[in-house]
Amino acid sequence: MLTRSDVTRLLDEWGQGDPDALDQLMPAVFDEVRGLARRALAREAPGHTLQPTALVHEVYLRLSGRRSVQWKNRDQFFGFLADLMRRILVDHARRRHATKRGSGVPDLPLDDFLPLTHVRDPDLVALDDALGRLARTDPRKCRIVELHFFVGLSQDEIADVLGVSRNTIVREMRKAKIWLRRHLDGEEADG
Amino acid sequence: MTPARWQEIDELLGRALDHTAADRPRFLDGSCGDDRGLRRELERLLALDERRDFLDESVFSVHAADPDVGRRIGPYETRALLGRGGMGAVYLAVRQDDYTQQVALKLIKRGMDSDEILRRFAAERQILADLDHPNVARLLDGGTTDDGRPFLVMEYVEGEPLDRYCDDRALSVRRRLELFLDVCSAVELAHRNLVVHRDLKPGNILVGKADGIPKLLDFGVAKLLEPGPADVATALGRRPMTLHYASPEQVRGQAVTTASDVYSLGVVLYQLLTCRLPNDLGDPDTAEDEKVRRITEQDPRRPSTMARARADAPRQLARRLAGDLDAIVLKALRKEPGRRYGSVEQLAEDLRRHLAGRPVTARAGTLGYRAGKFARRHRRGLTAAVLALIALASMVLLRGQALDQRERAVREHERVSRVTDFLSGVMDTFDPDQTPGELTVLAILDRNREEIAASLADEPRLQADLLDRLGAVYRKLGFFEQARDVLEESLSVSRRHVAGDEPEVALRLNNLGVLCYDHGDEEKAVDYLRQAIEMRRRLGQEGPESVRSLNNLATLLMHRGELAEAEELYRRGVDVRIRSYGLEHPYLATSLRSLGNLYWVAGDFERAEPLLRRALEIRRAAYGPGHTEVAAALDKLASVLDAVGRGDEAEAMWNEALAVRRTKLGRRHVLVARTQKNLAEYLLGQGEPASAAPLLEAALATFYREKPAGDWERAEAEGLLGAYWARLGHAARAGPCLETAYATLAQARGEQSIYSRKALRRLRELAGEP
Repeated sequence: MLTRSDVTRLLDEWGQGDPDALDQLMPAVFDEVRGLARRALAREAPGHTLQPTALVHEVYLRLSGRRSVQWKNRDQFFGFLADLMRRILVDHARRRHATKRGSGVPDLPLDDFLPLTHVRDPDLVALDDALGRLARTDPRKCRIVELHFFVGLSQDEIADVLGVSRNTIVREMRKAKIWLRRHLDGEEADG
Repeated sequence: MTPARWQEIDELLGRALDHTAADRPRFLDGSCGDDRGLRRELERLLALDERRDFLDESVFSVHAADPDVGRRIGPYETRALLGRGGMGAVYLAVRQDDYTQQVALKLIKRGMDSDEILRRFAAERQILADLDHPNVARLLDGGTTDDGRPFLVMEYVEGEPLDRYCDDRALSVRRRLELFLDVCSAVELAHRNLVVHRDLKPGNILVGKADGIPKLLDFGVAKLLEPGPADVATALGRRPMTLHYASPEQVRGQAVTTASDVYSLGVVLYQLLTCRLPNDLGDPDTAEDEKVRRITEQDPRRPSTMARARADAPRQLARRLAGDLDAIVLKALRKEPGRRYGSVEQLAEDLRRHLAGRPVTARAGTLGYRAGKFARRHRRGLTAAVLALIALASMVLLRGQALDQRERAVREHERVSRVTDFLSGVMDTFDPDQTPGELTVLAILDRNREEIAASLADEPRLQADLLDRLGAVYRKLGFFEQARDVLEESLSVSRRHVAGDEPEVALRLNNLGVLCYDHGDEEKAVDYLRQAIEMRRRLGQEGPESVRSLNNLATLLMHRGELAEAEELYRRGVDVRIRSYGLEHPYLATSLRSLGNLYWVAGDFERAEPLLRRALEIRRAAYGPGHTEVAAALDKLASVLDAVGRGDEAEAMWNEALAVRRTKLGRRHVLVARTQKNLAEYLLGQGEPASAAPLLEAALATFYREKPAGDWERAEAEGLLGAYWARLGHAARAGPCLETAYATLAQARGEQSIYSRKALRRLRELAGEP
C-alpha cells in the first residue's frame, strides 16, 4: 500500500524523468481507476459527487499539465478516466519505445523492467496515433474504443454510460476496430 | 479520403456487417454497382473484422504485462505465458505455418545478457539435443530473436506436475511408483550422458493430460559433468531456489553429482508416497541458515510414520509404506552422498524388486526377510510344501514303529521333535511380522538335510522323496546350488537302491534338467533331460507328462541352435498331445505354436504359417477373440506373415493383438510393448517411420521401466530407435543407438546365436546399412 508521502515522492521522481517511479505507481493507479469506474457505474446515491482519488487526480494533473479538472456528468467523468489511462500508458510506451531506438532519452535500466500491460509498446504508440486519426472523422467511435480498451468497460457498461442502446455500441465498436486496424496496418491517409 | 466519402463507406460497412458472410457478396453487388474501388475497399475492411489482436481486450486484461506474448519469434508466434524462471520465461507458441502445432518456447529474460546466462542457455540446448527419451521433453529448435536474445523450442507438454497428477486422481501406491520409474529412466539417460539435472522436482516433471506419460523438463540449471570451456567456478552450483528438493551438498554449495539427483528423486518419491515433504523447513520467514541446517542435519521421518501421523491418510497407507518403501526412500535421502544409492538405476531396480515382491537391497539381507517375501509370493504353494513335509514326516513316524521299540521310540521322539522343530522353524521364519534375527532358514534346512541323510539311510525311497521336497524348498528360496546338490543326491540315492527305470527317477531327472537350465548349466540340462526322455520312452510312458520334458529339451536345443533335434522333439510332443487330447485342445495349440516358432526361427516360413494359424484357430475357438493367448498367437503369426510378404494381413493381426493386450494387460505391460515393438519394426520396414514413432516411443518407455539395461528385448527396441533415426537421416543420433543395441544383442545370447545374427541382420536392413 502506498502512503501519501510515497505517492508524492514518486510523483516527484516521475516528474524528474524517472520512469521507474511510474512503474511503482501504476498498480495503484490501475486499481483506483477500476474502483472509480465501478463506483461510477453503480450510480451511487445522488449528491455523491464523482471524485477521483487523490492519486488519480494528481497523476492526471501532472500528465495533462492542467491546473484543475472538471466534469459535469458520468460521461465526462469516464472520459477523464479514459484520458488518464491513455496518457499514462502511451507516455510510458513512447519513452521505452523511443529508448530502444536510441532517440536520446536517458538509458533506462532494462533489468526486470516489467511493462505495465500485455500490450506491446509499439502497438500502444501506434494505437494512440490511430485513435487520433479516427477521432478526427468519428469522435464517438474513438471514445467507445477508449472506454473499452483503456477503462475496461464492457459493451453494456459503455452503452449505459453513453446513453445509447447496446446494439449501437456493438456495431460501432466493431466498425471502430476495423478502422483502427486499417490505420495500424499503415494504409492510406485520411481526411 | 474526404469526410463525406468516409461516412459513406462507414455506413455501407455497417450494413454489410449486418449481413451474414454468405449474403455479403450479393449485398456488395447491389450497393457498389460498378464502383470497383468501393467494393475493393469494403472487402478489405470486412476482412479486418476477422482479425483478432490486442484491440479485443482491454489493458486491464489478466494476461499481466508480458511484452513477449503475441510476438513473432523465428517461425513461431507466442500465444501465452506458461511460466517464469530464473533465466527467463516459457511461452506457449505455435508455428506460423501450422497453427495446430503447439510448442513451448523458452526465452531468456530481457536484460539478462550476462555471459553466464548465455552459457547456461547454450549448455541446456546442447544437453537437450543429446537426450532422446520418451520421458524427456524433446528439443525441437533453437535460435536468436531479432533483438539478440537466444531461445529454445521444446515439445509442449500439456499436463500437470507429477504430484498434482497423482493426487487429483488419487492414484494407488503402485501406480505412483510406476510413473516414478518412468522418470527414473529419463534421469538415468541424462546421467549416462554425464548430465546432472540439479533441479528435479514435481514442477519439472509434467504428466501429459492426453497420454499420461511423464516428461522431464527444464535442464536449465543442469550441469555437464565434463568440464567444458566454462570455468570451473560455476561447477560449484549456485544455491537452487527450491530448497525442499535440494540435497545437503547442494545447499552447502559443495560439489554436485549424480548422487544429488538421487536425493532429489528421493524427495519426490517421499512426496508421492506421503503427500508431504521430508524436511520441515518452517515458514517463509524462517532464516535461510536454519533451513539449510535442517536439510543437512535433521533426519526425515519415515514415510510410514509420516503417513500414520496424518489424520486424513488411510490406515493401510502406513502399513503399505512400512518396510521396503521406508527403507528405499530413506536410503535415497541419506545425508552423505556416498551412502545413498550409487545410481538412479539402482534405486529404480530396488523399486522394481519391491513391486515384484522380491527382496530389496535397501533392507537388511536376513534370510528370514527373504523367506517372508517368498511366503507372501507363494502363499498357497507354501502351504502345499509344508503339508507335504508333514505328510512325509508322519510316514517316517509310522515306518519307525516296526523296529526295536524302545530305541526307536527315543530316536523317533528326536526325529519327530526335529521335524516339528524344522516345520515350526520354517513357519516362524515365514511369518512376516516376526523380527528375523537369529533364525536363518538356510541353517535349518542344512541341519535337516544332514538329519535326513543320517536317519533315513535305510529307507532310500523315503529319503529320496524327502530330499526332493527339500530341493524344491531350496530352489524356491533361491538357493540353487544347494537345491542342485540335494536333487543330485536324491537321484543317486534312487539309483543306488532302485534297479532300472522308474517314473519317479524320470521325474527327478526332468526336474534336475530344468533346474540346471534355469541356472545356466546348459550342458548338464541337456544331459539330464535326454536321460529323462529316454527313460520314459523305455518305460513306455509317453503320455502327457512326458511332453514337458520333450518341450523343455526342445526349447533348450533350439536356443543352442540344434534345430533338427529340437524339431524332432517338438513333433513328438505334438503327436503325444494329439493322441492324448484330440485336435481342438489348447495344449495342442501350445505345442503347435512351439513348433511353428521353431520354423520361424529357422526361417522356414512355409512350414511355420499353417502351424501358427492352426494354433490361433484353436485358441480363438477355445477362449474367444479377446483372450491373451489369442493375442500371443496373433503376434507370432503376424511376424511370419510379414516375412512371407503378406504385410497387410500381418499389420491387421498386430493391431488386433495390441488391442487385446492393451485391454487385458493394461497399457504399460511388457507384452503390449512387445507387440508395439513388432508393429513398429514392420512399419519401419514399410518406410513409414512416422507411424512407427509413437509405437516405438511407448514400447521404449515400458522397456526402460521394466527391463534392466542388458535385456534382449529392450536392446532390440533401442536398435529400432536407431534404425528409425537412420531412416530419417539423423546419422548422429542413429549411431549410438545402433552401436549399443548391436553390442547388447551380441552379448546377451552370444555372438553366434541364431537369434543374435537374425536380429542384427534385421536391424542393419532397417537402418539401411549395406
